[in-house]
Amino acid sequence: MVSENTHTILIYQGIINASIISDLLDDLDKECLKLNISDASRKKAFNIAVEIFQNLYHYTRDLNVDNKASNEIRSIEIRVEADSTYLYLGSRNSLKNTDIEALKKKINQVNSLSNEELHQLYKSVLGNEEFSEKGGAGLGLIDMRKRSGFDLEYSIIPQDDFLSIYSLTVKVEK
Amino acid sequence: MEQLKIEKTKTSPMVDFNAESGHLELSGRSIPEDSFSFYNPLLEWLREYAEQAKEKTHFKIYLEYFNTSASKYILEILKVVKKIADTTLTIEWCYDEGDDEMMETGEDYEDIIGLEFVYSEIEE
Repeated sequence: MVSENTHTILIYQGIINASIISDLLDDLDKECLKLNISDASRKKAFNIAVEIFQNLYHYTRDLNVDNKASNEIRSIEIRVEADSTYLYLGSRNSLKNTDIEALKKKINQVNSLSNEELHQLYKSVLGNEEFSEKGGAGLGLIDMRKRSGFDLEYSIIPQDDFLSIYSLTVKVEK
Repeated sequence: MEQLKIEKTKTSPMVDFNAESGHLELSGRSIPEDSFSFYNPLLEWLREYAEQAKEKTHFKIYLEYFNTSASKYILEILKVVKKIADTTLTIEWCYDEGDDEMMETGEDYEDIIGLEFVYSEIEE
């Protein structure tokens, strides 16, 4: 969980696209430099942020309910916070209820593995030929957990018959 | 065959593939939104080069960051390059000083692809 003594270093709410992702990554890098975070942790945070931001974009750009898309459904929130020890990279977005089980299964799987098991899974998925439906490599969650070294924290809160709100926080040691 | 040269951007790396000299270089950030569009022309060039490779090929890969979708295409590139391993092929995997994660990623590729890399730690 995010501790009480955190301060927000980056926040974005709205629709996301490639140009906004690029600006947010620049801002994150600048904020990390201001906080005198080590180069290794800054790179970790950048890599994890790329995966979170691009996942948000890939998932929400085609999101619709009964073939109806709205800005409200496609809006996301990105929030990066820091305390004296950690950076917390957080996101919030609408999730189709039909996608809940598959997502929970993936996150719970990566959280259950030891570092060595995670490394082997990473190599195995990297080495196979498949690409996911959205054109991703299916490696995003594995990569985030591997770089972070901490469990991926998430919650899924039902909103109605079709959608839930999915929140994810990935912790990086400063 | 023509040289393939692409300038780097904030999201895609510099590409300098020279068939005459056998020097190939990929360097910078590789976090494009659409990895297929960026990497497909590189793969096509390399497939053609593999048919007529110079006696010596030096492939320098110096990436600061890459996203997971690019990581799959980098593997595809290495698979194509592996086809010229019967000539003298050097794959130089460069990483910034202290960037152990990038060095380990090189070792993962080395393991998956079955080719030995030369590692260069670059002082920042």
